[in-house]
Amino acid sequence: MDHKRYYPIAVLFCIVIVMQLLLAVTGTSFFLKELTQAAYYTIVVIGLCLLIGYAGQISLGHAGFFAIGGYTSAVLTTFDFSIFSSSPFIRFLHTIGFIIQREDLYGKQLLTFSPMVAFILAVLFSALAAIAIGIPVIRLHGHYLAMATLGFGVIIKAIIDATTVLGAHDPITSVPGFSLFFGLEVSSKIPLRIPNYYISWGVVIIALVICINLIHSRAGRALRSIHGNEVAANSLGINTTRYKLYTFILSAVFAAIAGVFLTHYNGSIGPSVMKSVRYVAIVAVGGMANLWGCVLMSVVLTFLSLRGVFGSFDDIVFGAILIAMMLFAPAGLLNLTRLKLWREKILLMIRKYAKKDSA
Amino acid sequence: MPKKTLLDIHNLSRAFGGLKAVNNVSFEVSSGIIQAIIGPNGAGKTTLFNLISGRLRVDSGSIIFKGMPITGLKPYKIAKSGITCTFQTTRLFQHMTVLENVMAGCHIRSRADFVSCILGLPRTWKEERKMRQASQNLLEKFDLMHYADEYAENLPFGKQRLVEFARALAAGPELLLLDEPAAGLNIYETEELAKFILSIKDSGITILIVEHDMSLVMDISDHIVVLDQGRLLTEGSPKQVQKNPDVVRVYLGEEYA
Repeated sequence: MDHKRYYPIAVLFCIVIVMQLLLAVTGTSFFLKELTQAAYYTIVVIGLCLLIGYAGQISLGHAGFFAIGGYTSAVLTTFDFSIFSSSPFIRFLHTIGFIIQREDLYGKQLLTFSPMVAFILAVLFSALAAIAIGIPVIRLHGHYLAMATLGFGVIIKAIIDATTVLGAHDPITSVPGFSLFFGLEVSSKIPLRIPNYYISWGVVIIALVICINLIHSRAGRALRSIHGNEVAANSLGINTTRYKLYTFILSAVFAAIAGVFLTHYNGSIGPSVMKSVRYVAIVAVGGMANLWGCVLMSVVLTFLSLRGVFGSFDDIVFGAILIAMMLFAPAGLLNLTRLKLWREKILLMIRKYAKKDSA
Repeated sequence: MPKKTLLDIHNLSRAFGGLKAVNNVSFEVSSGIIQAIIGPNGAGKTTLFNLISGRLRVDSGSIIFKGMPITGLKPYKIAKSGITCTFQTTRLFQHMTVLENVMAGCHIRSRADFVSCILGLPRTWKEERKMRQASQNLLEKFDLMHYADEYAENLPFGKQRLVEFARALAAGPELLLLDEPAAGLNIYETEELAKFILSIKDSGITILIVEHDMSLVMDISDHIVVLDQGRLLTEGSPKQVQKNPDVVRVYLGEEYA
């Protein structure tokens, strides 16, 4: 019975494979690029779905964590440390393999961090940022928390715009590929498109397994009870502040991982990644505490957006979606209780008609 | 036979601005009994409950539970020490099923930490099954099993109250605080409630109850504390309290005393 909860993941796995084969057969494999990028954005959405939908804590600054992850990784793997090569610390990092020598596009020798080390540092760094921000603000409720996290996003954007090492208003480009294991590499090279598609969806599936484990556990119930009634949760011995903080950190780490992978996949990262509102809009359309609704909406909307379907109205579309949601379905469009209600209504109608026919 | 003191409230005070909601109140709760706190509106009963369960800060005085001071502890720590409560207006987790509500009550009786929950370690699954079983047993006892998979918000009000009881008991408390459990219940539901409260007492749990329904209070309590305008008016057995002229005065007015 306990294994039942993983069935939807198996279904997703099949869909991922079928999709790839379908695109290969129809000769439209170029769509894989957007599907890969959409997968990484979906990881941010999954983390945010946990935080907003299940724990009931809104964050309007999650792109900040995405940026911390992506930018840390981009800087560490592109910044040439050879100017510090006389420093014993840098030499030490070089000997233990944290810093590697590599060639850039023009054949110049560079001393940069290895992508794996950069990845670990990036995730660590954003987790620390989440702790530093989370400890003071996670006690806040409702729109106070929303405003505080909004402030965090604004700060990160301002830091990026004002720092030359981070490229200021320009993106950091020529980020190298990220070699995983078994010769898999996260990079934008066209021949690696298919393995990269599977890598991205593999990471999504890992994120989903983590979420499903959490939701169906003691900790997940604690989160949902906080959402339900924080006073009552406290009266049952649930350390609500700590659980909220843990979820905040977990979702920040999800965003950071997505940031790192997408940066390596695109080979670049720029200040345009600050799209917190978009993620919140997707979670709202996905039905808040509906993991699969969020995944579905994230893939569909992000794919359309990346294909340029919304044209120059891109941000407007997501803003409009959020406004429409708050007006007409504040509990989320694909909200599970709502869906259940609709199903019952439809079943009732069918039964009514069936009766009429037989009479 | 002298009974063991479970809860000792000593010179407790709390003011809201100039209003002394609880003013230098001291009393004890013996282990294994049903003790009621009564008093007219604004006597400070709910404030007193909020002080005991840590939701309000204490101005002065102390609360000793099982010989340990719990004054100033966070609510979740007080719950962990063995005091849980139900609320004047039910505070169920509306978007969770009845079973999940009760399982959330099992929180302090289970161990699985955040990381092992994420990883889905086998021992968390084992514990999960144990908690599910314990919660189902509780629901069975409260005759709520057929509501187990229903969202809490869809239950009739009287049943919601019972679910809240089950949830509070799932935490395995030694002291249960009931804040006006009969409020909004009809006469039959109140009778049913009285039976439940007595059966909880029989299972060895001490109960402190705030209630306006006097017939219920007089029926089930072993000991009654009367508050008036934040002060302790008197305390004693139901019979003693009923005869006390002060109590008659605060409830019915000067001319009846």
